[in-house]
Amino acid sequence: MPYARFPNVTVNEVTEENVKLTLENTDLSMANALRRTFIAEVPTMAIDWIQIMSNSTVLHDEFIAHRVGLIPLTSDDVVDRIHYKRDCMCDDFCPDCAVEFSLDVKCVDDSTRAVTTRDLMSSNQKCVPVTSRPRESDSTDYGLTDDILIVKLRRGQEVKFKAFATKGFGKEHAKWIPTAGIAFEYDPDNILRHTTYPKPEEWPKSEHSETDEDTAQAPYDYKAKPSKFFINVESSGALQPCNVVLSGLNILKQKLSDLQVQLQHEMAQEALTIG
Amino acid sequence: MNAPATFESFLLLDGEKKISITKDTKVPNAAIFTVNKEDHTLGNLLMHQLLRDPQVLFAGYKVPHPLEHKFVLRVQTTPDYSPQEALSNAITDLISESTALETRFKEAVRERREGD
Repeated sequence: MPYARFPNVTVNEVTEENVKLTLENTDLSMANALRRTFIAEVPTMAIDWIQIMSNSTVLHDEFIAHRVGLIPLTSDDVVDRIHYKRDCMCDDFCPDCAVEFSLDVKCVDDSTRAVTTRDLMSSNQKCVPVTSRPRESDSTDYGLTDDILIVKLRRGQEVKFKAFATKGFGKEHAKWIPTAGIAFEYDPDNILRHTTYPKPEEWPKSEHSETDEDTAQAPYDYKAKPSKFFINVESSGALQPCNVVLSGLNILKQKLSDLQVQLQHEMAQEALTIG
Repeated sequence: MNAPATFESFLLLDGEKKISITKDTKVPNAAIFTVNKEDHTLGNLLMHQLLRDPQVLFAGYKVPHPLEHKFVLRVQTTPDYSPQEALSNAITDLISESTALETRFKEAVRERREGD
């Protein structure tokens, strides 16, 4: 391997929602490629097809369809086994390429009935709305236990639909993005002067800063290159944050391998036409 | 009304090749690679890796238009080395780096779990 780097990863913290990493001895382009991959290329499950049988709510059909599509579904166990809909051999949806969901709520009493993700029934207990995931009994209110509101009903109003969730990734639609946000930082003391602060002392110090409280920025080093990156991957709940990272790394590797294969193919073709 | 399907940003159309190579005739040992249905994620990554190779004299990429999903990578090398070879080596190095990251990440998670 002529000019490969030997990167190092330290995991600073792992929780249900976050994973904090420090990447060292790697290039900014690799760190950024990973960030872009975590956001846009890691596949998850989301509702992509919906048939509304009855809707007498205050929201119109496509409004509800849009909201239902954005509901995060637990995809950890399911997304590896499921094929993309376009790759599946079946005509319509099948268990190999989709998970069926249904919702049937009618408001019969006088109080407002809030239709939430708790009412969304899945055909596969491994792929449920994130808020419906069975939680350990000793967990306090993380905010994840609040069910997501879909629509509110008055007496006599009803909503009934059938939907299918398929596999996809962020590039196709934002509903498939597994992360809530990715915090990405490098060079906390501005040694590289990639930023020019008019008044450096005004700016808050980063938690990763290595200088004392009085020095706003470290002295300029023109030869230095960015090599230490502080990344915090926050998941929406669809995938475990460690799975987001692993999946992202795998996908980047996959893309590079595919490109290598195609390149060799092209080079062989070229050799044929020249020779 | 005129919006193209979103899957067109990553699915190759019929007859489209992933990568095509054209020789740059203006200078010796230079080639332009057009990679379809890829974006800055790969383009920037490949360009920086190529720049680490001392036998690469020129490496640069651009996305010619944000509505067309492809990038163009221009590589010029020293006479004894071909741009295709340089790109192939760069890709191999990046694959080994990603594999190293994957292994190191799995180890690091295990270390963190054992520490708790």
